[in-house]
Amino acid sequence: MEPLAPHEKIFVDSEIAEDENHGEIGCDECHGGDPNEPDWKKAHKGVVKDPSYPDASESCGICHESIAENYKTSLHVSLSPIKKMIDIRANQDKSVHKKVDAAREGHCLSCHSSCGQCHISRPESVEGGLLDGHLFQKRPPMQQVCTACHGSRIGKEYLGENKGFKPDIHKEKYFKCNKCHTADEMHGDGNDYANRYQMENGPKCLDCHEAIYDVQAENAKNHWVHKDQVSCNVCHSQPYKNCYGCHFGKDKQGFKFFKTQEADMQFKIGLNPLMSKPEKFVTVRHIPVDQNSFKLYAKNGLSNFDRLPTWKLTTPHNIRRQTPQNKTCNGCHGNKDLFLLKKDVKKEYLEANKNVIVPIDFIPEERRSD
Amino acid sequence: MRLMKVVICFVLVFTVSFFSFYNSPVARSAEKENHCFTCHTNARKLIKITREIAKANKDKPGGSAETEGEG
Repeated sequence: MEPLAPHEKIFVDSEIAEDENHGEIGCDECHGGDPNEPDWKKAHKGVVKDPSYPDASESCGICHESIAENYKTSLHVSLSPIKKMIDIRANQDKSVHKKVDAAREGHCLSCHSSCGQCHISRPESVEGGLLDGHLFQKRPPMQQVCTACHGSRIGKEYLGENKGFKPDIHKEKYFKCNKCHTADEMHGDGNDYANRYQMENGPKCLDCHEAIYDVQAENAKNHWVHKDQVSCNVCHSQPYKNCYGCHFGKDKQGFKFFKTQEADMQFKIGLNPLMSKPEKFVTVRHIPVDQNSFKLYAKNGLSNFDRLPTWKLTTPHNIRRQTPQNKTCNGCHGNKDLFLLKKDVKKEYLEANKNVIVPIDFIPEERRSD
Repeated sequence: MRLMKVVICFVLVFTVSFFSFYNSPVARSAEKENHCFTCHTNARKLIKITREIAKANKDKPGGSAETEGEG
């Protein structure tokens, strides 16, 4: 994404005054400050850059009441699953847990979004800057908002920016993120979810591809045979990025930093760690967090690290109709390299991944007639 | 009848005077310049100010040099 010049980040298009819904709202009504003060330094006293975070009820929520009601449960605002996962792994000693919490709030939670950081500006976590001169964007522009944050994995997969791999077929059909990820999903529904796959109004392939199980459908037999056994991504995803060893801390000047080890492109089928989805076999991705991620903040901060696997359920956004694993039955059946085995997991994390690693006798046998 | 005419005239005069001379808070604030708007819609002004800020922060690093790898 092209960076914005400093003045571009704060330039407001005068057309905003013509906005039939927002044009009559004074700048100070949302942002504070003093519009009558000609000295810009004095005028900015009390200015709030993003008045929609963490609580939008006094800004956007004044008119958009029904959205603001559930706003705090939007996963993009609360990042609740991240907190839950870290809490499960964290040391339960109060003093250590406090340090882990502080590190999480300073590092992980800085990736939150808000009304403003989707509909008015680029997200703060990617240096912000107004979208289109502060004109309100009903549908956030994909590459300045969505993939600005969801960039290194999902963004690159979807846009075909990983060398040697094609883009997602949906991108080639001109679909933007909001075609599948609706506003209802983004805005929250009042429920506190453990992860995005639990969301009732999250996207599902069958929302559009319902006819895939019709008797007359192309490839109906193969789809029926694998129904509720194998997730769609197992057959239709390409290899995807896996990250390792993210550590974070503050440097001598107090600036936050993170360091990750080199990522790799892999495709791994594991056992489904979630009870909410029926499929037995799913694509799994290695997470960047490891046992020592918080070591610069707290010794033994994640002492219960093994409570969750390091390979998590993933839905790579690089779907193709035909892939090496679905070209023939034996592209997958009997192909051990595709499956997450014990040998693929570091010794110290075998316990954490015991429910995800595929036992050898679980791998579907090679088919004689392919 | 005459009384009615007088009342109608009075009401008309009052109504016209009210809308002509009443200075509502909205009207009063609209008369004053909104410096937020006039400054933030002026690219030239913003370039000048952001250059001033950049000069003042010249020796201050924007972020950590220790960050490595993709986020």
